[in-house]
Amino acid sequence: MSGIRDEVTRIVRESNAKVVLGDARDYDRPLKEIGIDSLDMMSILLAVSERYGVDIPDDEIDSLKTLNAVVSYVEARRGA
Amino acid sequence: MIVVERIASYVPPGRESNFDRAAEFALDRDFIVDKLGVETVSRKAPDEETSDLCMKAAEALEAQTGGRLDDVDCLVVCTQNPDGDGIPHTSAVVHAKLKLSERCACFDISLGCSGYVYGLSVVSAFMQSNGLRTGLLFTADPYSKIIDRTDRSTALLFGDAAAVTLLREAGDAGRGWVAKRFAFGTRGADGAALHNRGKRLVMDGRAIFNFSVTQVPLQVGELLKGAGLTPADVDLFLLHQGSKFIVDQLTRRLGVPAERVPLRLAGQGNTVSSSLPLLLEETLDRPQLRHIVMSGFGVGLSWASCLLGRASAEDRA
Repeated sequence: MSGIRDEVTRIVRESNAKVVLGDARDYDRPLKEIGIDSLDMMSILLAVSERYGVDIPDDEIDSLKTLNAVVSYVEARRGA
Repeated sequence: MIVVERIASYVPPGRESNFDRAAEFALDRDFIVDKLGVETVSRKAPDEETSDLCMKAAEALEAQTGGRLDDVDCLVVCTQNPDGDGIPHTSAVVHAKLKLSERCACFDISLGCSGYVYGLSVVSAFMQSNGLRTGLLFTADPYSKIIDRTDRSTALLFGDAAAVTLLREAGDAGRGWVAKRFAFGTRGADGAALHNRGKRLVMDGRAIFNFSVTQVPLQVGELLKGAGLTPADVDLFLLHQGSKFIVDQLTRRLGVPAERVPLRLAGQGNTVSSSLPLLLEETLDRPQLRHIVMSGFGVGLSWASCLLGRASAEDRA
């Protein structure tokens, strides 16, 4: 799991250098609060899909409200 | 050898400020500046037709060349928002307004954001194969005709404009830019991602984004490989101005410095097939440039890229 979280962190930082990821609590904060907007999210989800081969349908994006939710989503779809 | 000799454009003076609409769409200033990159969108007058935008661009071209455009052999308009309901073709309407010879060939090209690159290839080849000496390629796709002002995914992005590119048989003059290589792609099965439904533009922003940032770098890479070049050999990458966000993401994925990827978005927005000639007109006369890559992508889904270089004696071979 930590491997996926590290990779998601790398992807987030690459997508938007302004995103604030100070400590573990930030992974449970709403995306907007840590500086991720709807366009950043498109970029992050595409990079996650490319990295892990996991398709994320449009109708499931609304459920991904935090970075930990993204990590859990990938973890579940990969059967980790 | 057919060369791009000059480009002129017309951006209508009408403007709508995105800052004035920020609250309506719950957007902040940083998002408008840093992500959309569009501060105002240009809007034609309600009674201004697509051919009128072309005529203003033609007048700007005449002002540059210092003479009337009376020796045109071929006139092409790239648009998906033609005059009236599309019959007659807008190129014929422009032909009439310019009072050109009856020997002038005219046709329209129906393409969106990839249209300029396609147009350069089509018009150059058409002129070459028919022995024509002077061609005009217009791009004019005023999306204000089909934009839903309440749709935040399109209303703040698209602006109206027209551009005209003067193509000439260079003969011995050898001046101007020549398109040396093209690449084209189509994914018709996903065309619904950007379509006109009952005169209302509908866009799936995520689908367009995913398609663009994955396909364009691949196509540009293949284009350069075929030409024996690397990104480091290219002076400028002119990318369709979909939004600042999409240009920034493409810049990152292409692995090129941002200073080699110019933006022209803030003052008028995404002008569809005119976005590339609007960029190119600002760069044609810069003497230090040798190689330019252009890439247009969007409606279709369609994407097209080309490599431009300075015209030289070898190109006539």
